[in-house]
Amino acid sequence: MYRIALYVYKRLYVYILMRIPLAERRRVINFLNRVRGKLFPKYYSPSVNVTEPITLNQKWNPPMPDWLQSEMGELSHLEFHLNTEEANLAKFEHFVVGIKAASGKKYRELLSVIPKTRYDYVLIAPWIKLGGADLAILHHLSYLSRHGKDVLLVLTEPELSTRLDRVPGEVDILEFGRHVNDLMFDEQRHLLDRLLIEFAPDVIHVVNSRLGWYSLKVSGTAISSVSDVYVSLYCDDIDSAGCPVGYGREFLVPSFPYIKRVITDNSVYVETLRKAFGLPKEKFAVVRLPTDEKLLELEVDHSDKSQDILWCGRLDAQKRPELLVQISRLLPNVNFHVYGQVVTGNNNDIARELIERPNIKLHEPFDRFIDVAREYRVILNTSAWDGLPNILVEAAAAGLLIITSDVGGISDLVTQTTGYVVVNHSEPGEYVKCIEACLEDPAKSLEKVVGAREQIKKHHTRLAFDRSMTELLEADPVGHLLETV
Amino acid sequence: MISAVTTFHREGYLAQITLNSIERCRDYCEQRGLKVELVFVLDRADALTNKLVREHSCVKAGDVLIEASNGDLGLSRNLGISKAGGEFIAILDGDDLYSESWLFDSVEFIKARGNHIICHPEMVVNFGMYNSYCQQVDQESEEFDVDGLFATNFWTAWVVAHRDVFQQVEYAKSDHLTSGFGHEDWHWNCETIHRGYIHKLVPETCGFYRRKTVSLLSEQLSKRVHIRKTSLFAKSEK
Repeated sequence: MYRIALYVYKRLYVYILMRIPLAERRRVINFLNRVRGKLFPKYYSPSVNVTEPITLNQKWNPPMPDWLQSEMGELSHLEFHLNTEEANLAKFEHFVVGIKAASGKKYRELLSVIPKTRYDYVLIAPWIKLGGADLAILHHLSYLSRHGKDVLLVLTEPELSTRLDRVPGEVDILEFGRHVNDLMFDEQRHLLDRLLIEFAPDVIHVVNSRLGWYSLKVSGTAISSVSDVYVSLYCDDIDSAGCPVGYGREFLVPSFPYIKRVITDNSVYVETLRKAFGLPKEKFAVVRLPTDEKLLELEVDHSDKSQDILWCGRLDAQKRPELLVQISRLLPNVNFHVYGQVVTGNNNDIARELIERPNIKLHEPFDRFIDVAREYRVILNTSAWDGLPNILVEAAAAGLLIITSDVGGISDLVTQTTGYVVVNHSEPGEYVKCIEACLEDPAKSLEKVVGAREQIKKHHTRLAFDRSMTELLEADPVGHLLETV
Repeated sequence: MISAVTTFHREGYLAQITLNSIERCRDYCEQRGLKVELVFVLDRADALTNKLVREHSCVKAGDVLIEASNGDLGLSRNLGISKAGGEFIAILDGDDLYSESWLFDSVEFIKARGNHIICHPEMVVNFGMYNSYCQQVDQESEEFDVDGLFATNFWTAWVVAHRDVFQQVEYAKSDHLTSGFGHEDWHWNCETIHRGYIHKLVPETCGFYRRKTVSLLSEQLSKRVHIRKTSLFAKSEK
């Protein structure tokens, strides 16, 4: 297909472009180059060459100026390849220097909306929405603004960021993705690279941004020579074939030489990545996220015989609402209260099943966990894979008993002494046993709840988070953070 | 006087061809009363290149030969410029060829237009691995757009300018393997434009660019090397 397009282009060049003035010709060629980039991206790079050669049928080459032929003829006595015999001269194709100004103009547009000339910290994220990673970003931004850092938040995806109102007012926001949406991915990467090189912040921190990771992979040598590079990773995702995927799998190894710190919120994922790739422990830092400390003030009371169980999460393959449906069938006398969101994939069927189950009640998503925490004593989590879900941290802080699948980083918080852990986590019957056990033994439940709360007080307060962040940013040399958190 | 600052590395016998071309340029200048000083920087040059440069007939008393171990084109050019005595400086590469009148016509061009002018050969002929030719871009032409320098370098590294230009704007370090930064000529072009210098084409002059399977440029392009931070693309204070 590319060859056909190239043939058409050559004909176009010969019959039309050759007949128009050079300046116009260059504009048309630039336009055609951009079309080529859209249609045939693998044949295109925005920053490749000094010039943009055009392959031509030789007989249509514009004639080489006489003075140049004469000079080549003279120099052929010094250099064999500059022979001006007709057959050799015909090998020299004419080309036009392509002036591609679109990226440069877009770059100027970006500069015009960035308020400051310098930043201490540039955090690159896809967006700010409702997810756990978004919450982590907000905690990082809060810490940085409370500590007087000049921060630029770069949002690389064009999608609407629904939680920008949560970003501290002192943080400047660049909606990069919305500005550059009309450019190709590699052009976007080139723009981001240049912004990072020109601003040269003390720290560049990439969280879940594909463009940010791609910049690190391609331009990490340059970027890391002017800034310290941090990345945040929380867990693998699992694709529909059951394979681990995600930025940790795709980008971490090629980017690793440029990264000063890999930040996670749980120690399990550190070991997962180290085992997978043999990476050194010293570059990892576990920074546990703070929770709403008002939750710690809620009274813990497991003396009543409430049969109401809380389930929170997206209605998707990761959180496995279908497992909840199976559990609810096995426990018809227990009521399950679902605060869920339909956000990915085709899960109309599971939503319908949830609605149809008599002992499952669907609720609107809550804004703050404390608004619903008082209503429940037990929370059930059925994730197939995860980091350390924020909802479990909040639940532990609020004094809820946690029954959860034993996946990802959850074991950092929930063990058999701080909750009920389901090792064989795809079996609904295993959850049923735990639910029955906790409902039958309130005293034991209380013990577990108190243990979990102690973990929260130790690791998930703002004070603990600030201490971890300070150590992270001031640590010199790299390498002792795993032991201090 | 014009100082022709030329960097050599491991060109081997190709250096001899370049030296022959430089000698031709020198003769052309001196026949017209323009004195030429050759400043050759041998940056980690191999023994053959070193020998060919030292023994070439173009090298005369008063010329400058510098042995350096920068391993860096930008720093080597700066070093050569710092040792050059000419009012005008030409930057040449050790494996290319130049049209006979390139140095002389450039000096005449600057004398006519002013010391804010940076001269480039009008044409570039690529030869070797591939053969092609083009006209370079004139900053005062209609099609010139400074924002195009964001994605592409418009000019080859061969320039002639008044020595003040090089004293105002040095070449940046170009250690792409360790820092990821290179294309020191592209960076220099951006910096000089930002400071108000004008890049012009000298009519009927040409550089002949030897294209090799592996070159510094091709290596830098394949590794996605960047130019260093430049005032041309910096966020300015309002």
